[in-house]
This record gives sequence, structure tokens and C-alpha cells, in this order.
Amino acid sequence: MKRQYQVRSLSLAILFAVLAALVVLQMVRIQASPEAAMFLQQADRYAGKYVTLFPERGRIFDRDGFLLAGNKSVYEIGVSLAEVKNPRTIALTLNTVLGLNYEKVYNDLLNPPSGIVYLVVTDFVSSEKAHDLMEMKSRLAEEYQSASDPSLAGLHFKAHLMRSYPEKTLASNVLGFVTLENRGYFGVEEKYNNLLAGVPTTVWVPEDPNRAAELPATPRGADLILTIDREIQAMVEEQLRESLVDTGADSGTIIVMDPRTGEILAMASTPQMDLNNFSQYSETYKNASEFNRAVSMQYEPGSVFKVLTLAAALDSGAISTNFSYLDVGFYEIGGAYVYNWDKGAWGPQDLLGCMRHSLNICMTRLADQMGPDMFYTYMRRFGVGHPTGIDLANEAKGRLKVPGDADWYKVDLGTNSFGQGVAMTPIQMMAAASALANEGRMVYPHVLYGMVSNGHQYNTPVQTLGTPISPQTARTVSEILATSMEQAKMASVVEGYRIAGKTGTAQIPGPDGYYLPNEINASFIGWGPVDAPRFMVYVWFEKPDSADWASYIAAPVFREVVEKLVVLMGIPPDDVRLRLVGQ
Amino acid sequence: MTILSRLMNPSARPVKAVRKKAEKADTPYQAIAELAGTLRHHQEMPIRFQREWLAVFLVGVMLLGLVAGLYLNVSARAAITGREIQSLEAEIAVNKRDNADLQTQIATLLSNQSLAQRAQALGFEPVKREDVEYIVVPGYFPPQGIHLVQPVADADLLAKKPEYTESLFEWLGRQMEAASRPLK
Repeated sequence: MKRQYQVRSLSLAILFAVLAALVVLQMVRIQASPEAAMFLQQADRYAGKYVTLFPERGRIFDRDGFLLAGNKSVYEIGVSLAEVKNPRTIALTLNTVLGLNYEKVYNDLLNPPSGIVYLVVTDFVSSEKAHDLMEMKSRLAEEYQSASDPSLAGLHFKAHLMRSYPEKTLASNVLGFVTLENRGYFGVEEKYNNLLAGVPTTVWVPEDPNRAAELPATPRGADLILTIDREIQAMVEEQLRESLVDTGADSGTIIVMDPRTGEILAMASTPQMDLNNFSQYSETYKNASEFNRAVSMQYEPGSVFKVLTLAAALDSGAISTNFSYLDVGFYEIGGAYVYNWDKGAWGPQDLLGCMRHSLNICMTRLADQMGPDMFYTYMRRFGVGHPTGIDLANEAKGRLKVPGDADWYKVDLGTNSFGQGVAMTPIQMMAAASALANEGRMVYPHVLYGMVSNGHQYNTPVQTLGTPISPQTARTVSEILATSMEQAKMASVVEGYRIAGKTGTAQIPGPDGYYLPNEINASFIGWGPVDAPRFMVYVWFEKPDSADWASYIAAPVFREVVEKLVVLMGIPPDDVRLRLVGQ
Repeated sequence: MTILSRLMNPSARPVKAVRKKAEKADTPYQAIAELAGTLRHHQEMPIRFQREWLAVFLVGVMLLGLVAGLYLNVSARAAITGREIQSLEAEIAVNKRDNADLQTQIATLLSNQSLAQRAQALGFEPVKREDVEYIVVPGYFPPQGIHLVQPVADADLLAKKPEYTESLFEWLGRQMEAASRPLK
């Protein structure tokens, strides 16, 4: 008996030893096999996962620190198919709460694509709705007893951030928007997309808690501070909306800039859209250039351009301030005749009369006296036909035909001198005119005041685009414009403030190249106070139907904007200001 | 050592078979080998010898158990810490999202449109140019520009700061110093 027991024990021991040896042998064989690398890869696949950490998109503030673009939580809703207890409840609930198609959700749950264990049903669900669903899920889970009971088991919620614009339509033309793919379109969002979006980081996150480590810090995208003043922007937009109704114009644009620095204080153009509903873009705009007409839409500016011609003529020495001529109602140049806006003859005129009556013949004479080379050299110095480089997406560059171009004729020298046959954007016109308001220095127009990144703030320095004219010429032209405006008692005059400005009524070329008989662009550019300019305002209405002249359409709007602007900017009337400065 | 000493010590009295084999052996190692072969016949061993072997075995098991227990303890603590790290990471993400939500909510409540509506509801109206009176306030300089950056502790530096900096020897030294310090 004892012997038998020993034999059995020994047999069992040998058996287990052989089995253990086989296991060890198999382990060694597998590790040395050609498939070992593949097995290791498979093991690694389940040992953890690569996770891409997207940094929070940088915020956008106005110049006073008010949030113009931030982020908010939204939820991706998905279903873990193995956990589903009642697909009908899930489909019905998502249909009721989120408006999803019941049949589609139900069928997707019953017949998911092969190999899928987790089905993403929808994304970008608001926090409120997601929390409603979470509450329903937990309530149903408490009450769940049998398979026929309603249940939202399997429904999962994954929070993430998306762009949010608390001011809705305010400054929408400047800001642009961010799509669901977190890519910026138009305006600041597109121009500074890389800065705002930050750098995503992909990290390996092990499932084994023993190997868990702190995730690397993913710095958020840079925060941007804009030069935009929220109060001025709101005022300008309200004024634009009202004026659009009053003038019956197709669209309008108003820009307010500090001519000393090039900082854009407000920029509005119609139409606008609630940036939170960016899917309305295609319904709101016919093409991309309409999103922000101030920088993307080029047009023939008309008589506002005369300020550049006058400045060029004076600065080049082609004429002096004593210039005078006899206006006979026409002027021949390049074999064609140029007429005044009213086809009238205005008799003896000086520079004040030229600007006061906005005489085309006067401007043509000035350009002719300068000659094409000198005239176009100055226009190039003013940046006509070149983008300003403003930090907004989709800037148009305009068009300036010059001698040597196939489509340039001598008569273009005449028409260009009063702003016809030349295409500019409003921001180009402002950049050029900033030389007149800023001692001859053209400033770089910009909307970025500063950037905050990694705990440091970097402010945009003031940059000049050039000095096309002398300070003396700039002061002379401003003085001529201010005096002519006062003498004409234009609607743009603001009581108590001396302002320089010029209207511009321009015909609109049709598809065939000929000017449309009854449609105009009405513009006004002005800056003030003349002795120490703090603002420059550009107003443009496209195809207004309330009147035929900018002096009746754009000039009054300019005045209304400036009247509110001086309050918001705290600019006292000239006499008060000079008295206060003296104290 | 006990077994070896017994083998080498003639005064010891192992069982006959073992003693004979051990005496025949040239070296202690051969003696051990001979002894190991003989151990199969443990029944032949005296009770005291069996107890010694059992004690050695139990000590071994205890040592193994101790090491295993230590390993398990360290592993469990590492796993718990790992889970804590994971949950803290998740909490940080939630806090970041909450922070962004709250900032946006505040901005919405303070938006130009809502403030204007609230001001109008309270009977305020926009000031007109002619209503403004300008005065000089001596010593007042309007703020120049905005600075959004606030001085905050370097989060990265804080996270990377080690919790303990002293070495094991330093710790031992400190403990010994503390132990040798006279009682108050």
C-alpha cells in the first residue's frame, strides 16, 4: 500500500513537472518565433492607447478685456453596444430631447457596422441637454427591474470644448468663426488660427495604473487682445443698421481707426451673423468677400480719392497752395474729355474751391501737371493697388492701372485722379489717408493689440508703412479739407470739433464695363480733431436709394458716428480741450 | 549549517544509513549530496532532524511570503497612486472645462447687449455729447493699455517639484541623530 502510494505520488509529480516544462518550453518557443514581434504589438495595443490632447483654443478679448470669443462645454453622445438594454428607449429619448431621427438611431443600434463596439450617435450637444439626458439615465437605472423596462444603459457622454461668442453678432466681421473641426475661418480666427489653436500633443496613456504618469502639460492656445473697443463697435454697428434702413443701401461699412497708431477701434460691415450659428454662413453671404467688406471688397472709391491726388500734387511741388485755374466745364486728356460731377463750369477756382465743390476737372489738371510718372509714383507710395497687410483674413489688394499696363490709357490719369478706374478697399483708403492725419506717416492698420502666451503678453508695436508725403503737406491738406468742409456747411460738420473730411460719390461699373446709370457708391472719410487727430472714420454705402450724393448719404452718418465717438473716447470739444491743456 | 555541523561532528548521531554514507564521503559537499539522496527516506530520519528541515522550509516560505507581500504592497500602492493620477487628470480636465464655461457665462451676462438692456430697464439712457462736462482731475492719468497677464505660480514648476529630496543615508542620519538626542 505504501509502495503503491509512493508510485502514484511520483507519477503525479513527473506529470506536473512535464506539464510545467511544456509550458515553459512553449513560452520560450513563442518568444523566439517570428510572430513574437506581432504578439508584442498586439499586447501593446491593449496595454494602453495614444491620446491626442487638444489644447483649449485661445480666447479673444477686446481692448478693455471683455471676452469676445471663449469656449464652452459640449458633449459627444455615444452608445456602448454591449451595455445596451433597451435600444427603443435610447432611440426615443434621443429623438425627443435632441430631435434625432428615431428610425435611424434605432436601426443603427440594432444593426451597427461590423466590428463596432462603440457608436457615436451625435456630437456638440449643449450642456443643458446632455445633463438632462444624464439625469434621465440615472433615474431610469434606479427604476430598472426587468428587461422590458425603459433603460438608457449604454449611453455615454464625452465632454469637450467648442467655440462660443458671448457677444453673438458683435464684431462678427472682424472675428470670423470656428467650425466643428476647430479650424478658424475669416477674420481674426483664420488669420491667427495657428496661434489660437495651439499645438496638439499625442501621448501614450497606459491602462496599467502602475505605469500611469502625469500627462504632459498642453499649453492652451494664445489669447489675443484686439484693438477693437466693444462700446465703439456696438455703437458703430447700431448706427450702421439704422443708416442702412434710412438710406436703403444694399450694404454698408463703417471703420473707426486711430490714425496715430493704426489701431482699428471698430470695423463693421453688413450683413452680420451670429457667430454661434456659423452654419448660417451660406445663407447670409453669397461669396467670401462679403464677410468683411472693409478689407475684402474693392470698389471705385470716387471723390474720397481726391485727397490723395491733392496731397501728391502739393508734395511733389507740381502746384503750390496758391494754385488757381479757370474751370470751363471740361478738360481734355488723352483724347477724351473729363467733366465735373454736374457737367457744369465753375469758373475761377482755387484749391479750397476744388475740394469744396469736389471738381473732377481740377483733379485732372493736377494729375496732368504732375505727369503720369509722378502721379503713379505717389499713388504707389500711398499703397494704392497693394494690400495693407492688415491682420485679417482675405484682404483684397485692389487695382491700380499704371503706364505700361495693357489696359492703361492716358485718360486713366484723369479718371484715376478723382477715384474712378481705380479699385481700393476701405481699409486701403484709410491706410493711405492716415498719412494726411499723421504728419505724413502712413500707419499699418491692425486689429491685434497684443497676445498672451505662456504667461507673457506681447503687444503689437506701432508700425509705419511709409512716409509718402511731408508733414507740411499733410497739415496743409488737412487744413484745406477742414476749411472746405466748414465753408460748404456740409452735413459732416460736428459742432465744437474741427474735422477734415471728404465725400465720395462713385459710379458703379456694370458687367459690360460701362457705368450703371442709377447706382452709386457713397463714401466719406474724415479725421479729427484736425490739430491732434485721434480718430479716422470711413463710411461707405453701396447702392443707396435715398439720394444720389454722398454728401446726403454718407456725410450725415459720419457726423452721427463722430458725435457718439467723441463721447465714448472722451474727446472734449476743441475749445474745452485747448483750455484744459492750458491748465 | 546545522546539518553540515552534524555531518562533520562525530558526536552527533544521525541515523545509521546517513552516518555511513556521510562518513564515506570525501568532502562535505559530497556528504550533502549523499544526504539529499537519502532524504527521500525521511521516515528513516529522527523526529528532531525532520523538525529542523521543516523549520528551514518554513523560514524559506516566510521569506518568500514577506518578499511577495512587500511586492504586493508596493504594487498596490503604485496602482492606487496611478489611479489617483488618472482621476486627478480627469478632474483637471473637468475643472478646465468648468472654468471655460463659467468665463463664457459671465461674458454673456456682461455682454454689451445685455448690459444695454439692463441699463435701459433701469431707466438709463446713452449720454449725449452736449451733456458731457469735462474737468481736469489733478494727478489722474488714464490707464494706458491693458495687461491680461496676472502673476501666478508656475504650474509646471510646482508639478515637477519632488516631494522628497533627502537620500536614504540622509534619512538614516537624521533618524540616528534624533534617537541619540537627549530626552527633554
